[in-house]
Amino acid sequence: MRKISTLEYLSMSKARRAWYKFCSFFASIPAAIGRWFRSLPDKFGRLGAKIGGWFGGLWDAIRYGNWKTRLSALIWGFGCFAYRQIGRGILFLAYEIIFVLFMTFFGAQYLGKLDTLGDVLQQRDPDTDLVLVMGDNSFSILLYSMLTIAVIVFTAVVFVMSIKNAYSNQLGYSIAKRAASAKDDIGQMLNHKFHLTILAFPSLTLVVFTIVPLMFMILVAFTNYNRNTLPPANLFTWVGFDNFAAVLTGQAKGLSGAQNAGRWSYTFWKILGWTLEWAVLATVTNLFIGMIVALLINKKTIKLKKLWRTCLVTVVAVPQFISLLLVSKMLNNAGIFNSILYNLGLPTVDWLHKSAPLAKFMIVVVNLWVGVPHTVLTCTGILMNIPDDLYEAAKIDGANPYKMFAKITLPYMMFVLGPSLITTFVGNINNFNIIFLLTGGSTGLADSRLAVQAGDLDLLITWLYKLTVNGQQYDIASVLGILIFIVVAFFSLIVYSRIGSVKNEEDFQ
Amino acid sequence: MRYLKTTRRSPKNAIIDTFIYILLVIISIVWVFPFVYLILCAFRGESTGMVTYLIPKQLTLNNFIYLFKGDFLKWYLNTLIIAIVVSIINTLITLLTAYALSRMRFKGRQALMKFMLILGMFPGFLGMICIYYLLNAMKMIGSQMSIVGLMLIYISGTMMGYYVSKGFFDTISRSLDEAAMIDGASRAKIFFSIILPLSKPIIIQTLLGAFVGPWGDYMMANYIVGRGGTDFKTAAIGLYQMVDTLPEISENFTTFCAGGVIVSLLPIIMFFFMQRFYVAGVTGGSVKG
Amino acid sequence: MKQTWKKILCVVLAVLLVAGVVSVLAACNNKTVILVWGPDDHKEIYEEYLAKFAEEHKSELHGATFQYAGSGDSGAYDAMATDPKSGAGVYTFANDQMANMRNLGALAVVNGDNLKWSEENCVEAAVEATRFADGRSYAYPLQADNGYYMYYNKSAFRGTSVWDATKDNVDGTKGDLKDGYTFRDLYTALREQAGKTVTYTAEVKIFDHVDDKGKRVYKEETQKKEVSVDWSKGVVTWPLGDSWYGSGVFFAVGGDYYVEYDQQGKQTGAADCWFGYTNPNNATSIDDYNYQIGMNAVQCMKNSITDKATGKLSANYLYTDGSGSPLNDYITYYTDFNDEQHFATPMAACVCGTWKAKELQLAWGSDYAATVLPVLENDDGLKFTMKNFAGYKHMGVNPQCSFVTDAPQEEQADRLQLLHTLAQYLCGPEISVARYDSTGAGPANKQALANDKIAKDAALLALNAQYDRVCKYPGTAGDTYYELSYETGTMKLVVKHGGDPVGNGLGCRTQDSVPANYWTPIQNFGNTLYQEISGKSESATKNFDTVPHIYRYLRQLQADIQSAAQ
Repeated sequence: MRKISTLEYLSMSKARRAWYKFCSFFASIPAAIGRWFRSLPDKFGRLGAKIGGWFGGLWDAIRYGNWKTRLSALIWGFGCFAYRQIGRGILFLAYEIIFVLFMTFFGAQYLGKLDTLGDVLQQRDPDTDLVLVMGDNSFSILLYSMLTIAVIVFTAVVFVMSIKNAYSNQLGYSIAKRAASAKDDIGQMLNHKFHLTILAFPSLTLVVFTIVPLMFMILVAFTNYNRNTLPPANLFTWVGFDNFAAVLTGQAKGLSGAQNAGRWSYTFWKILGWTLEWAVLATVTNLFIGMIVALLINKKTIKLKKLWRTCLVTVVAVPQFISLLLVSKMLNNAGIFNSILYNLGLPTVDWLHKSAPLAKFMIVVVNLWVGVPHTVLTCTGILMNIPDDLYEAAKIDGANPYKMFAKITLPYMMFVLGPSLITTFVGNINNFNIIFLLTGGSTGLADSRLAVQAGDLDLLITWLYKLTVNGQQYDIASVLGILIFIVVAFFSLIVYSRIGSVKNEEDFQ
Repeated sequence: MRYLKTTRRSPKNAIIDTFIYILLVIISIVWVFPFVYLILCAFRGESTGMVTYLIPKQLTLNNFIYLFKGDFLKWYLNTLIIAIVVSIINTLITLLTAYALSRMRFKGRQALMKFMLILGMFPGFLGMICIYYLLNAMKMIGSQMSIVGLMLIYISGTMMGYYVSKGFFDTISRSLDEAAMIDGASRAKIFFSIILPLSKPIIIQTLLGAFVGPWGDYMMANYIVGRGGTDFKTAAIGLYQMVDTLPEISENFTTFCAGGVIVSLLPIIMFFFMQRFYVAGVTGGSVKG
Repeated sequence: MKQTWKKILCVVLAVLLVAGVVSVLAACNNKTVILVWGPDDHKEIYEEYLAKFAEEHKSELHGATFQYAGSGDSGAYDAMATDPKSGAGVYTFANDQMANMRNLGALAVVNGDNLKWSEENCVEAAVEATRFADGRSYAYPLQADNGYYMYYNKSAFRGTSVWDATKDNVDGTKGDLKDGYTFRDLYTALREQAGKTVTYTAEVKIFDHVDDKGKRVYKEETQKKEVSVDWSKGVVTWPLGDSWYGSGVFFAVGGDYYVEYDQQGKQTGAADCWFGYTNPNNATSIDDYNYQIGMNAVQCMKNSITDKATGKLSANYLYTDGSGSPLNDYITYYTDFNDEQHFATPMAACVCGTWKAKELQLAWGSDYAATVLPVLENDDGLKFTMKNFAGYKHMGVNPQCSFVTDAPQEEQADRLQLLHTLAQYLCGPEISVARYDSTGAGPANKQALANDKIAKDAALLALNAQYDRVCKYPGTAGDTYYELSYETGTMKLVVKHGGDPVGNGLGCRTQDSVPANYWTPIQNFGNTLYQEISGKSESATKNFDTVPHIYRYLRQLQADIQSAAQ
């Protein structure tokens, strides 16, 4: 795309500018990606410097601190007690004691076995199957190790805080002869440290129910945790990159059966292809049909706008598991659509089970039914926001309605919708409901080369779901999860690096 | 397009408009037809399965009676409790997080935002087996406590959804905060007595979103409560299982429809009362682009 | 405004607090619960009998209580896989899950007196099906009803060439399909009915009636209805495109598979099959393989859906595939509608299982009947008994459940034995009859089978006859329909293996060791065959037109199944 000068840009009409911005957004994507990757070392460098700087403070404290400060490295909170910060002191000390107890009675036993994920197999009485030795549970070892690591990281932060606190007390004491009291602390928690109060509970749930499980599952991708090695009766262990090799290339030494590995990769690439194909189709059709319907409804001479909109919005309001299940039953062999055809004397069609292309077409159509109302709502808002003076000016210039549409309405809409296109696209990659509730992920016309649990209509996300819930193939499912992350991250990166709303947030204020 | 009002309508325009009206009627029929079918089936008296005609030959409330004779009321209440609690807590968390990230400047703020962005790119379902295990260790599986477990799951990731609300708070002038701070108001007070009253549209949008999410969730709920006892199911799981397999669909289809009508009622009412805010919220977020 | 928010905040915090306290209390509450898993629709029956059992064994329960939870067919395994310790103590499962359950360590071996109980009280074949790779039994037989056989309408075949008027029926009537009938015999018989209109009494659901005053009223009720049909337009259906049924043909002609499991129930990787060809002499050239099994299967399949006279797809055959929906639709139309057009091509016979018995009984009224599967015939006229998978439901005992493992060491053995006793109790005669009454579940308990109602159930009788006939290995007494079609040398390979892991005396071919993805190639095979014979195939590649093509497709079939098993 040709780069234009500022002057040239300013000389354009508002709508032309919007159109230009829209085009340049997409045109600059490859360069932006390149830039982002080139800036990676720099980014890591800065991150390292930040962490280093933070710990640097710790080094200062130990080097220049007095004995009170240094002792508080061993007995946390000592520096607080010494300067009469009893509240803080108790908290630090209590944390230290809890941490030591936690590590002794819980964390250490799991962390110690993390390298092998356990080696004591369950033993049973051969005559009754009574469990004699419970054996190691690889799952618990891995999960609780992750939890312990999260606790250790948090402890490291608390530790540094405790020493820094002692050091700053030491420095401050010589000046003010008084350190912040517990009452001050509580006041701060509602004011300058309000964010800590706010974020504490959500962060805790985030760590326990999102971050730790995620760390766990990422590591599972490097183990052989699947239906053959389910704990506690079995042990699983590390297998390195074998699962990735199986899924991506179909070559894996460590897994049993080379042909099976080929099956994984065949399925993965096939499903990835359909996932992307689906995401593009769903996004594009939704955008265009949605735009057209929005334009129809919002045409000035059309009356009963609210009625039309309400008809559409019902779909948004009804929970998807109802609307999609209902539609899937309506498209059933004996469903109402076929009954209508039958009663008209026409041949009936097995919409979702006859052939994959037909089923895929039907999925896209049903997705229109579900998705268009959303687009219409958004477009309505945009259309209302197009400044009237643009049209006035165009009218004075003698433009006809079609020209105004092509030169004003369309560019304006595309400008606003453009960046959200990729967000929608990413959303469609992970669109579980429509595939799963409508078809269960399969036409029932089997492709014998597909791996277990995979159907010809599955997206990566539904395959992952089925592998986890019905297949117990956690190792492969984790690999899929990571690969989905990579795909999503790739497309998201484009959006976020281009919109830069994180960077420019100060502009609004 | 004010000028269009003053221009006399030409015959050509009238033809176009008629054509558009016809199109809109067709579109409306297409969009509403499945729901009409849902309601007709819910009240159909004959045959509990699928039939080949649209209009029921006999109207009845039996499907609803049958529904409530079963465990549906329990499922519905479970879902209702979950959705209400989750929507309140989630709205609070979302708004507070958004406020902290919008108004306060603290160490690690940028890092936190980036981290949450990256975290959000992993499929949420990935860690499910692990969460199941954790909940199991907390004795929250296979008992009434699984409802609490499910709430925890819905609450856990909420923090990451701060994005839209933050965008909204960013548009509220900072001078308000500053003035209040000069008067000696704490951050907490500013949030509750200045920012919140100004944020009605975003509060309602967040509430609505946080309510509808758990209300219609199948994926997570199925894993946690789908295989346990029938008392702890949510409406989504119970209704899905009614029509899951072929023999069951012929016995339960109309019951499923009756359940569908009941389950849809609440979100539909909410949407129509709050549509104003919803549209405002949607466009408010996107126009800034 | 401010006050409102504070109130809301208070409410939320209160809710959180209560939730927290409740969860802590729940966690502290250590009352042991023994979970029992079974199908949802038997909930009331189980709860009743569990209460009785708890009353009788109060002292042995150590204060534990029973809790029944519904789980679907594969639900038991999915739930158990997440954590056997918090899983059920006693649970029902389909026998195809046995290897998986064993691998989880969720099945306790049934030994000594317990095994004796099984052997004395349950059907022999079902007991055999509870045995595993190591030859030991791991469950109690609960239901023996998961198989398929032939349903038919007597009026369609009465008096035709396939009819044996001298045969005795349980209900005292005479007349049944001839021994050793084939699919083609059925088609021929239907053709013989041309020009005749036969009347039989169906029970049809009627929605609209005309009342005394001549007014139309709508009311659902079952009515006896005289149905007059032209049976020459009748259809016979069997799901050629469903691998569960399609396998039956391969097993009939001697095809089979072999999967090796270790003692833990883990597949060791060794797997082989003989569906397309055998290679007894380790021939290196594909032309020297022995394709007899595959060819027989192809011919039998073809002959089962074509007319003897023309060799073309029979007009009296209705195809169904893996989805099963055409059959279901057909039955739905048939039973739910008072709609004459569905009687234009009436269903004369179909291959199906117990789950359709009730509907078919309504549709066919007094002429409803069920019998063993037909005999398959190859082009040379050799006959093979069609075989099915014998599907069972078992009751398993989980030795890892918390009721056992959380107990003091010295109590554990007694507690496990209590669970065994409970499992036996739940497989007992009384509760088996109750289950039959409720959903028609066919019991494996001998005493229950002797019950008057059950003993006269045509569907269960056909099923049991089918089990008896096809589950034995060739050469076993009573297996009169099995005619060996090739040299014993070739057969030996085939006989040895089995769905039966080691082949050490398992009487039944069960589904439990079928490897993942085994089904798909067979399903495709049947589907493709039908598409080509019916001329509906849109593919340019023909697989069944010439012998080399068939050979090629058979090799592909075998390769697919083999790779699926690994």
